[in-house]
Amino acid sequence: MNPPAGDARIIDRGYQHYDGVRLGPGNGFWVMLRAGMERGMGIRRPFRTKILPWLLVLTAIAAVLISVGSHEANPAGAAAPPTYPQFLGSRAFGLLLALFAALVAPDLLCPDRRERVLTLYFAAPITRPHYALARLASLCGLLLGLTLVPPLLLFVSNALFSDSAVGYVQDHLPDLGHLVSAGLLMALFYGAIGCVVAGFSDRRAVATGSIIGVLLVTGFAGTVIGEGLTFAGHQWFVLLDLQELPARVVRWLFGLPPIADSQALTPGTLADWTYLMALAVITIVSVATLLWRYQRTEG
Amino acid sequence: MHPERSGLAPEPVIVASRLSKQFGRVRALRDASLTIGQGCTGLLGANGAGKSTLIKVVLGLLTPDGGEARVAGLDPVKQPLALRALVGYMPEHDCLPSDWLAQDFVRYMGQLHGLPRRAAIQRANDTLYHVGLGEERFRAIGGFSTGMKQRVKLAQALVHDPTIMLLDEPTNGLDPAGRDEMLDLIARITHRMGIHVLLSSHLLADVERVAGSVVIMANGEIMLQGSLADLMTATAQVIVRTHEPPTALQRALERRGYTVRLDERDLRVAFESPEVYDAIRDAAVETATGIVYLKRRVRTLEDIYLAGQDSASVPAAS
Amino acid sequence: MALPVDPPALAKATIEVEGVSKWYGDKVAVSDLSFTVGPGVTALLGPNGAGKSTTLKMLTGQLRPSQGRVRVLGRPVIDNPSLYRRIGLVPEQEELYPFLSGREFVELAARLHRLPRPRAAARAALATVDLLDAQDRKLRGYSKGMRQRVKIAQALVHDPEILFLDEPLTGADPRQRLALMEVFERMGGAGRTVLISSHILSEVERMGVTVLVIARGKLAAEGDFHQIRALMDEHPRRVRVQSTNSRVLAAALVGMAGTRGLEIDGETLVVETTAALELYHALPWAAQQGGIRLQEITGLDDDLESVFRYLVG
Repeated sequence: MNPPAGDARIIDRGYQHYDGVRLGPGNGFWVMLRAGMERGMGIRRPFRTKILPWLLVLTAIAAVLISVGSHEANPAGAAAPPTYPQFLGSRAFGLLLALFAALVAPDLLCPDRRERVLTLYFAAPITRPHYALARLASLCGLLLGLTLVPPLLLFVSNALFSDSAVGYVQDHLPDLGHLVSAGLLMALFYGAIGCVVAGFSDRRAVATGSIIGVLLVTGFAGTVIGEGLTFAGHQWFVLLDLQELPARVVRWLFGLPPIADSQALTPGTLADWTYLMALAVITIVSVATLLWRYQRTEG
Repeated sequence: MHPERSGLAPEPVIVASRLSKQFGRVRALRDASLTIGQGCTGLLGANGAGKSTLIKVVLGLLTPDGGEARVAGLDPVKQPLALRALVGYMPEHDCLPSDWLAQDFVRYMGQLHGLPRRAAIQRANDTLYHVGLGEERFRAIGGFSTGMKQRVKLAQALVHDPTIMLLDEPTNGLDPAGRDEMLDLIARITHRMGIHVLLSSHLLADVERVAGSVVIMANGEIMLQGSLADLMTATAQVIVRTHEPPTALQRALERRGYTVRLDERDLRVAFESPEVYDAIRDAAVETATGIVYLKRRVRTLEDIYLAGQDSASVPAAS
Repeated sequence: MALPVDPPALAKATIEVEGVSKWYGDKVAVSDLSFTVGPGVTALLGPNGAGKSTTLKMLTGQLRPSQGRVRVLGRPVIDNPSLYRRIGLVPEQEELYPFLSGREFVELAARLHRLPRPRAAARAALATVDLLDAQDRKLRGYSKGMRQRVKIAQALVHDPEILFLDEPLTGADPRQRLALMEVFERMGGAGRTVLISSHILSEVERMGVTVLVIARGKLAAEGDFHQIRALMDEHPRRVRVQSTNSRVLAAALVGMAGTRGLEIDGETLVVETTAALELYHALPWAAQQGGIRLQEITGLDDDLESVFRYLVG
């Protein structure tokens, strides 16, 4: 004796096929980009992975705030805040960027190699260049945060503390343009170097060490050979000092005269635009090498 | 929209015609032609027979030197990305990132395969439940056991509702219970979810259990392909195993004019007509023998596989 | 449920485990294991995480028991390097020297064992595992199955009396599996002790081995699995019968005392009984009485998988 069916239904909640939207192949790039940026800053990951990257960002921001703040509080005693080229071209800032790249690039590239997740990536509707460029873009995106936010903060505080904020902005508009270009170039430069070195290693610690090592060794070689030795064409070796390249490019962008290499035994400096060329070449070669590396990697 | 599900006549899922691929001096694929139909197909072959090369060609990851293929209606050479959006791949080796949560990783893979974020989250959730990891989906993969990792691998291949799944040694490292569950999952995927499965495995027992057809490769060639039902034909032998020593039964059968061979503890009786069953029965009663096992011998997948290997022209590379 | 150990078995035992337990802090990995292993092939079975790998490590001296004794060839296995001359071990992990060739790797092992003729021994070992063709290739280029086989070769090269193998067939293709199983059976037949830890029960079954089942940290069963099955009296057997008249057959069988259940599905009859022996004798008789043709009689839970599931489940 069955009860009448009425309004009862059995809804099969077993496996359901997906008939919704499927986004095209290019979409994978953006997915990876976002995931990479989140990963680099430790979002959606255990707390300890957030410490170092955020520390670096906060250090840069704090440096700006402290120098502006202390000067405003004590105009006579405390030194004036750095100029934009001083800030961007400083060794400290370069070091910050290098450290950030050395920490985050391995994190983005090495585990996928070591744990062989690349197989799954390459079986998805993305291409190998998609993968490599998305990783690069994630790192550069994060570096852009570092290269743009503190200087912009400096700009804004300078504007606010000047007699006329609007006037300040109007007068310093070209500086704003230079700031942004410098930020872009530096982000790309450090991002490319970080990624290409990390792309050759499976282990994060080794990659971090290698990136720092590369910068140290080139810096040493560049200074010693470029400025210390005297054979013909020696000054070209200064270009090896990778840390120096962004600093010189910043000077060039802001229209400052080139620095004389005071310690050079023989006179003759390179024009700052050569540094720009060198930076561009190194960035492009690094990116090309990165793409080549991932074309050849076992899937 | 999947062609099969739109109600059209079922077409073969993978069709390959004279595929060749050479790496240096090694000819990984030589003129391989095959047709893989609906349901679950086993891909068998010695190590070095060309299975992984075939899989890579099917996924659009490798361009063959010659020949062509159509996978789910698409050309892997001309439309590799569109194809990979419809294929789920479960590699043999470890390939999961240990510091991702299962849910996040499966969602991510869903997105990479074209699902919008919200749909991917929902499907990742559902898929992890389907593979039996519902409770653990918010734990980091690094802490998972082998069985759980295999399930995550399966989930990431399933999340985007593929038309075809390629499973490479899915029961690797699993204990008997885990293996059982994995094979049940694969059977469900084939029969209840209507997804075509290509199962590459060295465990013939696994393939026999879930596959409806097989493709057997050797030296880059396709040695044999067909449905298991067609291939596993009955032989002209009936196997009888007895509780008591079999000699009495053997003699009783021979007295009745039957040819009987003793193979360790098993009797193999020549089958010429079904009357042999009655003879066995009567001889058992006559000799008061208990019959523990009685069955007409069927070609096992192992028989089929070995026969396929033996007819290979050149010995395998490794 | 260990079978009683009789004095002759003890005399032949090459591995003796007495009251062995292992714990890590509060977690007990294995508790109170006692068994012996003798010449021939023995399979160590058990679910993941149930103490099987811990047990194997204690047998090979890689782990010290928290309690109890492990003796191999009459001697304690811990801290006994001289024993390694007579033992071969094929572990599961993958670390090999990628820059050596297969031949160099096995010869290295031969030399480490101070064999008088290392090249010949290496060659013989490589021949056994069918790696002569690939012996001069570097290990880094070896496939998974080849790596597995070269590990077996280096474990065999010094002709050990005892061989421990952890999932030795991983990565091997069907033919290689058959060949290797034959190698193990031959070694067992020649009087060596071969202890294999494996999850692939269908293959273990084929090698006609003695089994040791470890579950929940304890020894669940020991011996020939057919005998173990026979001992599992309270667990009814399910037998499938295909015939020309399953109903009449069922009617004849329902009267038997051991019959617990009957399932009829067309021409197929599944009988569940605790008196399997009587069933095996009753079937031909009942069929003859009823003029019924018996076409198939198969035990549904007589395989190692079913026995295992029962012991472990």
